[in-house]
Formats: sequence, structure tokens, C-alpha cells
Amino acid sequence: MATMGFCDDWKSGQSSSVAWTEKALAAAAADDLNCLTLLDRQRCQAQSQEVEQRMAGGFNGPLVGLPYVAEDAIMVKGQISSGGSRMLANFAPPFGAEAIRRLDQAGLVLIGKANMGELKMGGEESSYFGPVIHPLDAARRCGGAAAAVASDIVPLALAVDSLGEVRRQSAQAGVVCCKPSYGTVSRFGVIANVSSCEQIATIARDVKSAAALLSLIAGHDPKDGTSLPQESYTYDLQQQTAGKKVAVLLDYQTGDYDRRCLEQGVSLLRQAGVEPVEVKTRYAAYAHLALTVIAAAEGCNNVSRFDGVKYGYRAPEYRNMEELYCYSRSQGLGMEVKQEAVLGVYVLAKEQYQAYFQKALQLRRLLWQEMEALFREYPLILTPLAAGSPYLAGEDRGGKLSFRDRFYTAIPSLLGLPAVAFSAGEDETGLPLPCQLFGAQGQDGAVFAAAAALGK
Amino acid sequence: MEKEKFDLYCRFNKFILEGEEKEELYSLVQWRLQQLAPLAELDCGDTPPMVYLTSLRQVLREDTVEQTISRQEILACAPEEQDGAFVTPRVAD
Repeated sequence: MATMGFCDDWKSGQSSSVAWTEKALAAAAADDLNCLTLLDRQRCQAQSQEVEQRMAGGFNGPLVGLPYVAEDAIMVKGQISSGGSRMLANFAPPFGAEAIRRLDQAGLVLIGKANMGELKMGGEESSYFGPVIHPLDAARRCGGAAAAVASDIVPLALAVDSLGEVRRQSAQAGVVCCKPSYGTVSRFGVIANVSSCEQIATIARDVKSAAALLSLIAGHDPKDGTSLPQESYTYDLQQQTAGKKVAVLLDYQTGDYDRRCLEQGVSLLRQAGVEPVEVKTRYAAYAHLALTVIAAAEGCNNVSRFDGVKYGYRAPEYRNMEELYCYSRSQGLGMEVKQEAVLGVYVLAKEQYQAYFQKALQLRRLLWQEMEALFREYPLILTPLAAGSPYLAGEDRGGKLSFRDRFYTAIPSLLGLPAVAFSAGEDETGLPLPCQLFGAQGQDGAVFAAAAALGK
Repeated sequence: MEKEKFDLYCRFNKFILEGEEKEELYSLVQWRLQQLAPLAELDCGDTPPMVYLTSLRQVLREDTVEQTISRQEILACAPEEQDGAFVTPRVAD
């Protein structure tokens, strides 16, 4: 069997899925970072025993038997899938995500659900279950899936890359996040936020493990209308990266922190024999604005389904149907979700439609054209992923900092491009400096291979 | 965004907000709109809008009767159910 980099290290010499699962369960039980919203002992112990039996019968694969967590926006049949929201805090869906089904089939063991910003709309402070403490600095915040991998609870995680916060959180926690091209992984069973952008991404300590996990969930799913026709994906991480040209976007040099991230990223590229070329674009600096408008427009429609009738939170007191809707939604949804919903209705209203929503969709095309032209010359693009260190406790209340950092993560989200997020080095306090590489749609393997060539 | 418009959009969303929460939300939305101003001012000419990143296809199943999710499974998620149906307040007198 091929070696799996960090996943092999994580196994600590043990060769049993039951032992790996028990190790993860013990670490999860001791978790003081608030990484997980749910730990399903019964399900994962039964699953690990079943996998063990299959392994005894000759079933094998690079990640077979390993435990993982899934962000709480990825539904598991019969298991609470809250999306970090009070609205869904008691919601046990009657069907599960296609990605989970595929990992069940591939013999991986789901130990629980990872904490997240509310419904993928809110930032680090918005989860109904409280914020996640950063694994490298207790004064700071992180995302649950990234923190679970960074603190070695599990070697692997699934998370929904919606606005790119999962990439930023992963790289700032010192782990790797692989985001596939849009349409590669089924969104069936994902609690929707920005339907035209979001994809399930994978998180691990190294690109090799994250790409291997991705190849298990990627492939056509007839249940998802946006799923691409290709049946399966394998990512060749051995493909040549040295000698390639990489565009380093100068649009993202706005301050000391992002400049340092880029410098570290460029230094890694040079060490790997890649030629970095500084490039300035016309539209990149607007991408986060277009993404914000599209996210609000799609998000307000996606949250309109929460009405307190069919599933989810229902207010305890109401006198009529209108009050049932209003009190359930007002009490069940948090401040940042409300903000997105109000903004969404605003940008879609007749008076503002042309100035905001139409403009955002036009800008998306202009960016697409600009990136297409860039990719003809440079197959890869390097950018930083944040304007500053992971947020201090309370700093992101209201989501202003998450919005600020969307500036760096927006292009791959908005255009459905493959990306890999990683730490390019450390700052003076030892915290990772986050960077990402991204490439043209469908060039997932080349992007992941380039990050692997950087030693990630 | 004028306060009246904000109130209207809150009502569209079925949000009832009062006091500090309402003020905080209003100020957050206003802040966000200020950030979005450069987009509204950008000249995109007659560029056609780009809605989808892939060519969407309608997902249709074979026209055969099959069991998907049972009524019981769906009702198990409901905040309140009775006699095989969702319970809501009266919608007509």
C-alpha cells in the first residue's frame, strides 16, 4: 500500500481501525478547543468494527479505517446536523450527504461533527455552540474542522468551502486545505449557503492526504444538478512543477502581514524551482465585493426555508402563523445570518438590482476572462490569505474581519477554481503565515502537485 | 439604506427586531453597504452576467414509483406533528 505521509505518522504504528478510532475518540473527549459540536461514539465504534472485518477480508486502500470529522454543514442521516445554528440545533436529517456515503463505502470512520460559523454565513464568533479556540494560541479563534486536524484529534476532515474561510482557517492553523473545482464534489446533503460557489474541501496535515481524501468523494453524482460528468478523479502529485511560471498577485500587497505572507510564499516557490512573476490585475481587488453580493443574494434565499414548521427551531410562544414564522426566525437565526439575509433582499430589490446583483455577476465574468488570460501564461497563481493573524477572542463579532479577509479568498470561490491553502512560514510569534495557490478550473491535480512540491 | 427600507427588508425576512439588536444589525448592514460602494460605482459596460459556473442540467429521476423518504422520517424532524401532518396555528378563521 502506498505511504500516506502524515496519516501514516498519525497511526503511531498501530494497524487497527478500532485502535485509530479509540485514539481519536480519546483526543476528542479531551478537546478543550470546542472543535466539535457532536461526538457519535456509537456510530463510529460500530463503523470501525465493520471496517476491521472488511479489512480482514482483504479490503484495503490508502485511508481505510482512518477517523475523520465533517463540518456540521455536511448532513449525516439521523445525526444532528446543525450548521452551527440554533435554528438546526435539534435537526437530525432523514438523509445524508453523498460525500459521507462515499467515505462510508471507502471505509473511513466518521467520529463527529466540526463546529463552524453559523450556516457558513457567520465568522469565527457566530456559532451557536460558541467559538473555536485556536490550536496554536488560546487567545485566538479558528474553525472547528481545521482545529480538529491541527490539534491531532483526527488526521482528516471535510469542510464546506463557501467564501474561503475554511482555507484561511486551515492555513492559519498550520494545516492544508484542498478545494476542488466547482462541480467536482457532490453538494447533495450540504446545508446550502452560496449554492453557486460552495464545494466540500478536504483538510489534512499534508497535501498528499488531503488530495487522497478528495479523490474518494469526487466524481459525478446524479443527485446534484451542478455535478460535472467525470465519474472519478485521481490527482497526480508527481507531475512536474519546477520550471513553471507562477503569477504573484500584487493586488494583495496591502500591508505588512500580507506582504510577509507573499514573501514567504515566493521564497518557497523559488526553492522548488518555480519562477514567480509579479502581476497586477484590473479586477481581482473587486472579487470579494462581488462574492459578498452573490453570497447575500443566494444566502437569503437559502435561509428562507427555515420557517419553524417542517423542521428546525420553533419559537415556544406565538399566537398565529405570522408570529410563528417571525419569532422562530428571529430567535433561531444569529446576527450575522440576519445581516446576510437583509443585505440579500436589498441587493435583489428592483431599485438596487442593477447596481449590485447584476454588477456582481458581470464582474464575475470579467474576472473569469481576466483569469483565463492569466492562466494562459501562468498556470498557477499565488496569493496571501489574510490581512492579519487569526482573530483574537471577540474581535470578529459582527463578521467585519471575516469580510476583510474575504478579499484574499474570493477568487477561487467566485470562479469555482481549485485551490490549496497552506502555511508558507511563521511570524515572530510562531503562528503560520497563510498562502494559497490556485489554478484554472479542472487543473486541480496541477495545483495540488505544486503545493506538494513546496513541501506541503 | 434608509431606516424605513431596513424595516421593510427585515419584515420581508420575517425578522422581528427591537432595541439594541435592531440598531446593531442596522449599523452592520450600513457598514457592509459602505464596503460595497466601489462595486456599485464600477463600470462593467454591457458585459453579460455570469450566473453559473457549470452548465446546469435538470436532475430528473426515472418515472418509476419508488420509496424515498417516508412520511414518518419527515415528520420526525418536525417541531410539532399530529395525525401524520405538520401542526401549525390556524391560517383561516
